[in-house]
Amino acid sequence: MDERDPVQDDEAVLRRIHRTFFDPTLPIAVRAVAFRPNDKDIKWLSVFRARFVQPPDTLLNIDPTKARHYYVARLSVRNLQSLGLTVQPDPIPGGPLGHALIPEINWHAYRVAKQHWKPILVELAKMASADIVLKPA
Amino acid sequence: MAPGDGRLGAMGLLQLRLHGEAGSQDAGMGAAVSEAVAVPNATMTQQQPLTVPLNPPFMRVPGKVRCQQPPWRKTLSRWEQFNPKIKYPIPKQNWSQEVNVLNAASQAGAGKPAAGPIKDAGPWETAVQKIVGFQNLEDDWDGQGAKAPSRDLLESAIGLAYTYNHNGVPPPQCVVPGIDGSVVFEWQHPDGTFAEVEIDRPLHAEVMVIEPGQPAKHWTLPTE
Repeated sequence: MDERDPVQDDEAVLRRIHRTFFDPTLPIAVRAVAFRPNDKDIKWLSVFRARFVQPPDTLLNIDPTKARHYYVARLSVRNLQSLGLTVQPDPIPGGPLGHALIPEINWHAYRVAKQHWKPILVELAKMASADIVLKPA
Repeated sequence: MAPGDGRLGAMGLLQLRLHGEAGSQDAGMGAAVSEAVAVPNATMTQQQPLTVPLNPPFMRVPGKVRCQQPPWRKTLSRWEQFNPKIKYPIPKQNWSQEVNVLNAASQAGAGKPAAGPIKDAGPWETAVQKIVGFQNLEDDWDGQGAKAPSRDLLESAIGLAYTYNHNGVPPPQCVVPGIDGSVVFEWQHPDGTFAEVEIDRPLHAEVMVIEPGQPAKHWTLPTE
């Protein structure tokens, strides 16, 4: 098993969610904003393949004082595919294992078709809300 | 803090509306209550539900004021009242007027201590306080390069909050900063309806409403 292998349909990926974007009192606990690309995400939306990494390890490359404010959500690749999204391996040398990207969600694509992407981000928020695998300490 | 650097001073927005010199005195729930007291029940027509207050109104009864909910009010859920209201036009003039009031109040209150609640935001008070708190965000507040919202954008967000309050829109369940320096209002209803207003630059916002079984509706603010 190599983190450069193609992502299988039955895999799951992990997405880091800042606590600002999480409210457990709401039906959709995760804000869609948590999946919004910014101008750093020129090429991708960043995720981690769950078969290669434990949820706490996805936070290793974030400033520890800020990493403790993160939830981690698990998303099924099959569910992502149902939204027209794909997941591609994108190992980071020296970074947490299993880094991958969702190439369809990037800053440029979002900027030119916000009305297309915003409802999809809401669906991602619903999926993430249903499977939180790590809460802040 | 240098003037014009795009960030609020330490007191900055916290002073807005604290001194009672700015803004409409009959805004928000106060307006809702006074409207219900002043308008006789007999004048209510079928068109009026779009402008009714969200909470059970106080109705005038000889000798006392009591809380009473007329039958037509019982037929409207909170969301049914909200839904048309968020679609009300927000002219640029109204929005910028609110922002100008904020600026005037901010300047008038310069140097005064910031304490106590924001006075006249009505049911939006919590949301406004939260936006005010965003002035403390710094760039990279999330550890992944998020941008802090600028002062102008925060003032626009608060101005829009007051404008919605005047229109009778209930406050959002959630107010969050975006990772790109925006501010987002979000409403969720148990029936699955979802609404989001993203103030993405000063005096500009994008609105999305998703109702169950219908395609998402999008528009921008100001509406004219």
